[in-house]
Amino acid sequence: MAQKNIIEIRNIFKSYAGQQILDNINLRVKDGEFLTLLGPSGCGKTTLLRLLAGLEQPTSGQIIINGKDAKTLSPQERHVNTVFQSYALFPHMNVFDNVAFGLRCDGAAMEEINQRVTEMLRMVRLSGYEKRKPHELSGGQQQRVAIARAVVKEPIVLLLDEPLSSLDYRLRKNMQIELKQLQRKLGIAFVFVTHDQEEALSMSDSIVVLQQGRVVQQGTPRDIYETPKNISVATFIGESNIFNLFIDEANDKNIKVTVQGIQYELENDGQFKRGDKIHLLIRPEDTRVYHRSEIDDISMMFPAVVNEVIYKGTTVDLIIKLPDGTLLSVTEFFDEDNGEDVTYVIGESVWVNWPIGWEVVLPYEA
Amino acid sequence: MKHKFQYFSVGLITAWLCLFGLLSFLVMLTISFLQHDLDRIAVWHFTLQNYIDLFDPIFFKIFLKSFYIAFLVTAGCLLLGYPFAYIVSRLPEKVQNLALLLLLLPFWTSSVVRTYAMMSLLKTKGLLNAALLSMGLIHEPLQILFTNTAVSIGLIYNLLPFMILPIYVNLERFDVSLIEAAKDLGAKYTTIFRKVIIPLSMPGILGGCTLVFLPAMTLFFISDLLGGAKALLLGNLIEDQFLMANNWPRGAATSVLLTVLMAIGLLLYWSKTNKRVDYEAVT
Repeated sequence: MAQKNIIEIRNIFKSYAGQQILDNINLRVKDGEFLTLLGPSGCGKTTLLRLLAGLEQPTSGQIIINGKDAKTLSPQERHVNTVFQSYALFPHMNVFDNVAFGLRCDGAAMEEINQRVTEMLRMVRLSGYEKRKPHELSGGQQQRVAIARAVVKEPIVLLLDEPLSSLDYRLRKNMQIELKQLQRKLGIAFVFVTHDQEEALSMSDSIVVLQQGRVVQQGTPRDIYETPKNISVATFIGESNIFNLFIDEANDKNIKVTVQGIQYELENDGQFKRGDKIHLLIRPEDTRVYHRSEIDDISMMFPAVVNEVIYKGTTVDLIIKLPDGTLLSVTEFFDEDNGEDVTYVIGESVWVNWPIGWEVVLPYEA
Repeated sequence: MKHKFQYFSVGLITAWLCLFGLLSFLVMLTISFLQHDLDRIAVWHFTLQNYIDLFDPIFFKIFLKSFYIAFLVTAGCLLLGYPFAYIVSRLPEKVQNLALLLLLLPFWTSSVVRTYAMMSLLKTKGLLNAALLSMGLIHEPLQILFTNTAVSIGLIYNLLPFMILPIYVNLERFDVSLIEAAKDLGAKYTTIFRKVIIPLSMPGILGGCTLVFLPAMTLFFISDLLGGAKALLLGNLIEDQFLMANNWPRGAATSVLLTVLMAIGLLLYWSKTNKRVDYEAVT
C-alpha cells in the first residue's frame, strides 16, 4: 500500500535572533508511521516540532498538513497535537478536566466529552484516576495523561517532544513499548523527538537525523545504523571503531586499503579513487577476536592485547589495544551453539578481524 | 553552623513579632475589655460595653463605607495592577528589572509628601482641572478633592505596588509551556486567560488583594488629607478614638473587631485552598 504523505515540509528555514536554527529542511511524514527526529541538543529538532505544532512560524518555506498549507489552517483545522517534554499538564485541573480541555475548546457536547474522555483514560489505563490532580500522579501516569489529552483530540499526527527524557531507565523502557503499541492501535503518525539514539532505533519506522539545522540522513533504523551517510551520523548512532586510511588502489568495483599492515580488498560503493582519504568503520559487534589457540590461519588478521573486559550479562565487551596504541571496542555475544570461548583475561594476546563486507567506508571529514 | 544561623534568624524574627505584634495585640485585646476613663488610659474593670458601643448605627455606617471604599480600591488596584504585572512578567529580564525599579522609585519619597502632591494635583485650581479646562473637556473645575473619589485615587496610587508585586512574582514563574499546551489543544486566547492563566495566578491575586484591602481601610492620613472631614475610614475612626476622644478601650475594641474580621476572611480563603484530596478514595 502506498502510504500518502500526511505532512510535507518544503524548504523550511528558521532563524532566530540572527541565528540559523533550521537550514532548508525537506521532509515527508507518511500516514501512520512512527517518525523520529534524532539529533544532539541544539540541532533544531525541537524547533522543527514547534513549527509543525504551529507554536512558531518558519522564516520561509512551506508546511503542508494533509494536503493543505498549514498557514491557512486554524489550530482546530490542523489536527496536530503535542505531548510536551515536561508534559505541561494543567496543575489546577484534575485528570478528567485536563483530558477534556481540548474537547471543551472545540465546544463538544457534554455527553460526547464524558464518553470520549472515559474511553481515552481506559485506553491509557488511567480509569479511576479522573479526580486526581497531576501532582498526585507518578511520572509515568502524568506522561499517560499528557498523551491522553493530546490523543483524545483525534489528531492525524501526534507530536512528542522528548516525552520520555524525565523518566527513569526502567519506566522509560516500558513507556517505549507502550507508546509503540499505542501508535499501532491508533494508526496515526507519530513524530517523536529524541536525542537518545537507542530510543530512536528501537521505536521508529523512520529516523531523520538532524545536525546543525540540517537533515543529514533519513531512513529506517537499520539503514541509519548499517549504512550511515557520513562519519557524524555513524558516530552519533552507536559505537564504532574508526580507522582513518588512504586508499592504496581503486577500480570501479573494489578498493584496497591497508589496516594494521594487512591489505584488504573492499567493495567500492562510494566512487573512491586511489589516494582518497577515508574512514573505515567497524561496529564493535562486527569486530571479531580470537584466542591465539583457536586460530591457524592468521593471514588476514592483526594482533591485539586485551585491555579491559566488561561483563554485561548478554554480552562481553572488550577493549583491545593494537600495537600502535589504538583502542578498539569489541562486543562478543554469548552463543551456546558455536562453542566459542568468550572468556578473556586482561593482557591476553588475541587475533582480530571482521567479516569483509560488514565494514562501512566513508569519505574522510576533518 | 548552618543550623545555628537558622535558629538565630528564625528566633530573632519570632521574638520581634511576639514583642511588637503579638504582645501589643494582647495589650489592645485586654484594654478593649476594660472600662473607659477620662483621666487614665483605662480602669481595671471588665466590661463588654466597648464592643456593644460598636453596634451603634454611626459606627456601622463607617464600617460599611470603609469596606466599600476598600473594595473599590482593591478592585481598582487589581484592574490596573494585573495587566501591568502580566506585561512586565513577559518582558526581557533586563527590562523587567527596570520596570520594577520605576514602579518602586516613587516610594523612596514619604507617602505623606506624595499625598500632599496629589492634593495639589486634584484641587479645584490644580493641575488636573487646569489641564481638563484648557482642553475644553470641562467648563467648570471638577470638585474631586475632599471627596471619596480623591480618597480612592490616593489609596489606589499608594497601594498599587502591593497588588502588582505578588501577582508579578506569581506570573514571572508561570510555566509558558502551559499556555502553549492550551494553544495546542485549540484554546482561544480568552479561554487560555480565563481557564489557565487566571486560575494559576490566583495565589498572587489573593495575596495582592489581602495586602491592599486591609491598608485601604486603615491608611487614615490619606483620607485625612484627601477626604477632608467627609470621608472617614475605619483607620480614621480608630485614630480619632485614641487621639481625639481619648477613649482607648473603644479604639482598642474597634481594632480588635477589624483584626477578627480580617482573620475570618483569611481562614475562609485557607480552608478553600488547602482542601486535602482523599488519596485512598481513588484506588
